[in-house]
Amino acid sequence: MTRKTQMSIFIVEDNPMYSLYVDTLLKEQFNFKISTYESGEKCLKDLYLTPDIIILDYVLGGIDGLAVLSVIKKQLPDTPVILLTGQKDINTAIQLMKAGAFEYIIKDKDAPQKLADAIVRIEEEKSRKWKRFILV
Amino acid sequence: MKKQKVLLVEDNELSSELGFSFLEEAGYDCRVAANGEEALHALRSGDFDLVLMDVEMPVMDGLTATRKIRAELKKDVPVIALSGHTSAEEHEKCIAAGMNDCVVKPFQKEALYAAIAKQLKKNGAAKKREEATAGSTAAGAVTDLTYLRSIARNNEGFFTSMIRIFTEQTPEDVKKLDAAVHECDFETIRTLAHKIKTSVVFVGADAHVQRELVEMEKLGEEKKSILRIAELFAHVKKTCTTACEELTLFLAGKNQKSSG
Repeated sequence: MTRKTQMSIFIVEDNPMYSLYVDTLLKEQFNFKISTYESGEKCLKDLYLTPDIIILDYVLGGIDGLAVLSVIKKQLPDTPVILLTGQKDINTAIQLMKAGAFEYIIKDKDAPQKLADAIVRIEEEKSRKWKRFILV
Repeated sequence: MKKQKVLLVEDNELSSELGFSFLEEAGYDCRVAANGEEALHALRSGDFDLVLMDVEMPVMDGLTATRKIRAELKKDVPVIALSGHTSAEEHEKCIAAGMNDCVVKPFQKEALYAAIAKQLKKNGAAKKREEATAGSTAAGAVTDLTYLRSIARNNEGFFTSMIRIFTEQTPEDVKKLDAAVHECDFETIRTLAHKIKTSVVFVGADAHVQRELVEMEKLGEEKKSILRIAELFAHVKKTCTTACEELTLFLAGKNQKSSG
């Protein structure tokens, strides 16, 4: 088993403007291989590529974020999924965290910073796990 | 701050001397020409912020020279006539030739300064407006690109791409939303209203349409009041159409500026 040098990220977002926004933000700060999907269906077809992180919009045309999240968690239980949403509804947040979301970020003006912070946390956790693996 | 350049066109040496000293005193970078032909030559080889043009001159008079500045040189530099006649008819003749104002000779220092300041101020405001539409943030009545500019910082490609995506994507979304409203497809109404809601924020049109989109999304979720939804949609459609028109113009202006 070799550790991938460049992490791969999926962005699932039906709004092409927001998708480009997140893509641009990530490229400015991280060295990731980024793939974007305009629907949950399209993303699910590519799960065999085993992305390291998935950034998922909650309100999507077609199957919604919660349904996509459930499928991802069945197929790739260890892949962190960050939910991005325009909704501030607390019940939605609870539902998503219960379904296994790593983080739940509201699409407001602080979203870019929160997203970057969440990704840094994921990277740190991954490297800790990796160190433990070597020590064992 | 850079000195503003003024071209003084005057055949009478005494008037020329006097005008020159007034302009220098006021801090302008002043050049002189002795007739219309010399003035055209000076304007061809350099840019000026303003021209003071005597009307009656040998070789080429001021009216002919001004017509040529507008028609042949295609320059919109402000031209102020210096005329020995006080009649309204003379004034009209100057304006008809493309001049912007007329100062009567022998001129008073204050009158000359006031006329120059008026034209430079006007021109400065017009230039500022032009720069604002072509360069940075203002787009029109519905859209405001301040937010997009702030998140794009110096990433011009991203800035332009976002606007282009909006102008391509939004009419499609509106069309689909129109169909969904006709078919009472509440689920599609909800997701499309949500999608457009995200888009309008990027182009600063949210102040004009966000409330309507939020209500549409909510009614779509509750699956009720299709009449109210149709009413809201009419507003959304109108605003989005205007926004797209404004942004298409903005992009066209931007392209022209970068290629020209």
